[in-house]
Amino acid sequence: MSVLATFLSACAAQTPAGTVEGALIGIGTVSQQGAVAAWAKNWKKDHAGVSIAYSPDGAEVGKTALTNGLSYFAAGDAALESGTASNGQSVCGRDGLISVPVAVVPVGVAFNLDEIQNLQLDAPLLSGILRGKITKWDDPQIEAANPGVSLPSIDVVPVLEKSPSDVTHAVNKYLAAEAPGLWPDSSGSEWPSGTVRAIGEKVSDVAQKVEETTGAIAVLDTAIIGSRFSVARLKFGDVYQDFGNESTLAAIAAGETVESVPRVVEQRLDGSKGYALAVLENQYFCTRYRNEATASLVRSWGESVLSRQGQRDAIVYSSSLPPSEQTTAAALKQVRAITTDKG
Amino acid sequence: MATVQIHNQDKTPAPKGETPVPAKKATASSPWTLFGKLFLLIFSAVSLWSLATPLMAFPDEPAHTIKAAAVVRGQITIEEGTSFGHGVHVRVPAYIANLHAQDCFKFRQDTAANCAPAIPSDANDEAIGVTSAGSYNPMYYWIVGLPSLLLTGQPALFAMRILSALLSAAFYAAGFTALAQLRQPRVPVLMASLAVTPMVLFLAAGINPNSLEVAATMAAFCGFVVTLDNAHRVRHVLPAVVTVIASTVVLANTRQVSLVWLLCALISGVLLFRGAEIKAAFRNRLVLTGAALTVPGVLLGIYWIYLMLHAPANSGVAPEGIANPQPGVSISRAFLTMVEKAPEFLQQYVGVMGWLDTPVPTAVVMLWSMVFGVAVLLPMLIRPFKTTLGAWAALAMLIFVPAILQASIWKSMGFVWQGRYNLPLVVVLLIAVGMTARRLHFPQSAGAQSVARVFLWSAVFCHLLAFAFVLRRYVVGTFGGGNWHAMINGVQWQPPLSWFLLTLMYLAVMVTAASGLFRFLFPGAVLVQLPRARSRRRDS
Repeated sequence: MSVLATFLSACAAQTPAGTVEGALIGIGTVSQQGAVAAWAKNWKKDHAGVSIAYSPDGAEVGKTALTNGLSYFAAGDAALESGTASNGQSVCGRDGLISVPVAVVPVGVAFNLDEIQNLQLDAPLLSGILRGKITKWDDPQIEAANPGVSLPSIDVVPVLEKSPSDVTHAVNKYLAAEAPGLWPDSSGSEWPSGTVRAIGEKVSDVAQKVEETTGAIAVLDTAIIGSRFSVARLKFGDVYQDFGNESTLAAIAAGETVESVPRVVEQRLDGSKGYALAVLENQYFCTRYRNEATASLVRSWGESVLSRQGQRDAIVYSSSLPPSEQTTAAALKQVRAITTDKG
Repeated sequence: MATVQIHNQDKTPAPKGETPVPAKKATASSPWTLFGKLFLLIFSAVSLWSLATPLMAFPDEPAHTIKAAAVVRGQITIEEGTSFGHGVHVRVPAYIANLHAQDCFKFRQDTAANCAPAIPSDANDEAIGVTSAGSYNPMYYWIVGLPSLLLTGQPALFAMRILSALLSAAFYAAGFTALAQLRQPRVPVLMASLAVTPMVLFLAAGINPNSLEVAATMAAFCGFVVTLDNAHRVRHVLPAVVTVIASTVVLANTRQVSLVWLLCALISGVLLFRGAEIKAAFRNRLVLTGAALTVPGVLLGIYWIYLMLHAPANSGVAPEGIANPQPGVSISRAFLTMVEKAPEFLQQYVGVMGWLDTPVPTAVVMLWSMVFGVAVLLPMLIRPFKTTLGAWAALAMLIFVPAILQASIWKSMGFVWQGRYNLPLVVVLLIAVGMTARRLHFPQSAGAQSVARVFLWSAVFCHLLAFAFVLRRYVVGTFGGGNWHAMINGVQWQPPLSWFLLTLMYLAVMVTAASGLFRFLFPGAVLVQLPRARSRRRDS
């Protein structure tokens, strides 16, 4: 056997010392799939000896896998709550998990009213449309929000995605906050009961239906919207905000960095300064890993994601916007504290 | 218009002036000796492919290697909560978990293999690995995974490949050994040799149960037809019976679909013989004992299918971007699309190496296109028709069985079928055609020998061209083509022993194989005629 090993060893090249290497395994939301691919590209440029496998099975599946030692990171669309953050002590050490924001993905209300390209909606109006209570585009309530716009007397056709999604979660949160009492207090990723029947199997089906149907309206993320659809201005508090990267970047810059739960960093958006309906992408890591090789692998990933280049790649390849500088600094501090010593 | 018909007769009279040389003379050595020689020859060819191909350059090799390392470490079934959209999570040494990092040249024909990072020998900590082969039968993986318990890093991976190559070579050798025991073996052996396309050898060299599946189907079919051919004297072809038993058990436990290939091979085999021979074979005590011996193995394979049908479900939904479900496509449309695509797979039978990114040169495909053309046309010329049924059945199964299998998963998984999946049926078809033509007189004239020489040298050239072409793809990349000179002055990646030495060794193996086949077809004649020998023959 030793002869065989010697012969076969002759074929093997030497491993450069001091480089990060290993397989990074992550599980999380579908919406982070594109960004993870963009970050991976940048990360692998710096570390040739790494690979990444990301399975978009959802945030809850990801968190469970992380705390069961079946993945090295998880991805979700909300910061961890204090109870969850302290989970997984047997695998992740006594401090449990850390949670950091990694990207912000604007969500727009896309519509197809042929030549009409400017429309304003507030949360009660959007709630009425999605619950099927406002059924005509020339409804007096919509007209009141859009003075000077000649709205057609055609049916409003809400097109909603059937499967649970981060976009639905973001809209649920927005409507529950801005239209209290009109929208069920839902923090889930599915449309609450009372919403019009969802018809799109996949988000691509939703987009196609909107494109084909005059009078259609849907909520879609910025990557899908691109320059394909007209998008409504939305009301946050008392102010209508334009949909767009600049507007959302303003909401991010003015938003708070919250660290109320230990090892959990949260990015808030300020709707008074910019467009604040967005998916807040987060990643979750263990505070401690079984060995230094894994800890350095995960640290290196987190640093790469939060680096300027990583964030630039995310904008270019997946239309994700970076968290604020303050939030990024706080997130990096948590990532750099990832260690190997089990507590 | 005249119709050409070739009559298949049990006793074809020998043409005047030519004495048919009994095949027995050509295979005078004992079955064990023949098996040993064939095994060495096939293993040499396959292991040269193992060395010439960069690690993880075989299709899905990382997933199968990770599965093998997991199975040999006791992770045989899918445990609750470990299955996700992109595969099953297992615990394996870190260097194995990270094999997906070798993918920089995947799908990029212009990229030499030196872009891949080194595989460390000291990364042995347990790590999470992801394999898409989680539900595959564990037998092949357990055997192939063994070296990873004793070695580490690249040596372990090469040893895993070599072990897989040993398995395949053993079954191919057993298949050929069995076939040589036919009463009229020349045409079947010739067709079986032609069934060994560059793709078959390439596939046998990597870590992927597809390799063993092709080899074991070939062996099972060969052993089965030899048993039926000698139905009244089964005791004389005991190695063939043993081959059928071993191949059946291995096939039942290689991949879940392997049992389908086995069934197809058996159907085709039965249709090649008359009812009396089939009855005699299945009344033979040795055959019945052999069949009984396969039962536990087959039941084990079926039990695995049952286990996997009841395996823990994925923790998440099958995500977009991993599976590509097409719920809108009707099954009939999917089926017809596959039938329509059947001829397009021909190139993949001959050689589309790597991750479907390295098609062999057109010249190589042309040679085997000719072979496949003959395979389809020859049964049309043979009479009586009933003697060709096995070949027609094999052809029909090659077209329709993959179509049925693919259509059944189209809605949930999209179009995933690759030509290499059909190789077990391709091999069966070519040998079945050889079987239908086995009773034809095999000419021994000088002219026939010249034709055979030209053809075998062409086959050697095509095998060598395919080997060198694939090497070039990894050594310098094939960007723009025509860059053979870069193999001398612009080498970017070298396989173990260097590409040049491997190519020379491969040439030697191919010439040896062609010479052996030529001697088998024309006993007493030689493929390579040296000038001195030729002039001596003229003088005499």
